[in-house]
Amino acid sequence: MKIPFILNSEDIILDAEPDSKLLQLLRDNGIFSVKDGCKKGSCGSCTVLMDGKPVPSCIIPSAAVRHSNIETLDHFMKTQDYADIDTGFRQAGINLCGYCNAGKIFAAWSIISTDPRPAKDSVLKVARYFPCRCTDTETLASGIIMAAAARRKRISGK
Amino acid sequence: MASNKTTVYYAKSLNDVLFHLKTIPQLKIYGGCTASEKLSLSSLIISKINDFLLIDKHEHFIEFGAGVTLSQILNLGRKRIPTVLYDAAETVAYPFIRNAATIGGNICAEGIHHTLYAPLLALDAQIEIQSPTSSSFIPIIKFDKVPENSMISRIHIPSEEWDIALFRRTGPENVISDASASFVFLADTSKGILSDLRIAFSGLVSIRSKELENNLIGSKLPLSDKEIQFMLIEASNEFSKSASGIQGKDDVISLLEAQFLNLLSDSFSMLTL
Repeated sequence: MKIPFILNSEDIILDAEPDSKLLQLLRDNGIFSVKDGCKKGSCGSCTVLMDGKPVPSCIIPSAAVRHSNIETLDHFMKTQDYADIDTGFRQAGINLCGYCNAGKIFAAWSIISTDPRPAKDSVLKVARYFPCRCTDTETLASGIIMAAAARRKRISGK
Repeated sequence: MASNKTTVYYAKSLNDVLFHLKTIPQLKIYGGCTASEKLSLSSLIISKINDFLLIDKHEHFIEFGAGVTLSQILNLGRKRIPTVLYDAAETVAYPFIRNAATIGGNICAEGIHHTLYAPLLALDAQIEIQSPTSSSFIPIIKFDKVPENSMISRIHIPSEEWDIALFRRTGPENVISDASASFVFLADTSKGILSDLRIAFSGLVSIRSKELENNLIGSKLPLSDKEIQFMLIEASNEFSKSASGIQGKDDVISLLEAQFLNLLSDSFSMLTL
């Protein structure tokens, strides 16, 4: 079936089996920032923004993205929002391994875009879902809080 | 020969959905599309329909459209919705899945009752079932599954405050298995008397019994050991009654019963003056 949607700010129509997952659809079309991980929606490596919200592309059927706005990590990394996260992560000494980047970066984005001063408790609640050898939960939480500070500084100078 | 190719339909409004339900046999409705490995042969995706996205908060109740996501519910904050519903939504799957998974999908999941069922059962929630020819609210306790050619459109949840409101989940974290279950205990006390009580348990076995609750309502606090023992025996009988139709899962049923009785016993210990 033909599926029209917006992919990384471009209107496109892709051909896919309705049952195939968005993860496969994206990878089949050359977007490899979306990693093929657990296929259960738990590891975060296949995360994309769907209408501005992070979702695991491995469980979303291709048919369900019709008329949606999908943004993948490689596109998000060109934005100023990503630059804030990158700043925070660097300050916290985070060096992501590549496999878990989408989960952790979009987790940071979902927190700092809704709460300019996130409390550590609420950050830890989300951060604990992204275990990976490259970054422990505490460090990830610190990175997200620092990213929020970088974003505040850019937007309001405070 | 019948085709086994999946056909996906889309709708733009509630009327559109009802039209599809009327004209397409064996149509299955999908909201967040997070639960199924495969879509049904005739699938209708309703994720972008405003009629199902409403959140209507009043003084004594809150209404959610069936397509409201669990993240949207959590974003309202713990103080603005019944706490047991909030606590339950927080334990469903993973945060990014909650951005897509909907309250309607959680309620009508097939097989085992999912996490939100027990809180809704305890809160006396009602669900609106719509078909091309009728529309009615039914108490969730009477809801088994979505009837043929029908859909859940709204969930009406009374939002009274409770002195004690406890939610617990058993089984593996973040995923649903036979051992998964939700437990809710709500109690109001007044002048040393237990003035109201709600107990709900759901999973493979679901329990909500007014008879069981009425045994204790009006009792003086703290409860005596004898009263607690009596209640645990009654609760065990209720559990056996509810589990009687389930075949071939004796081990998990015994486990669920033990967990239900433990949680109940712990909850009773919270009832003090």
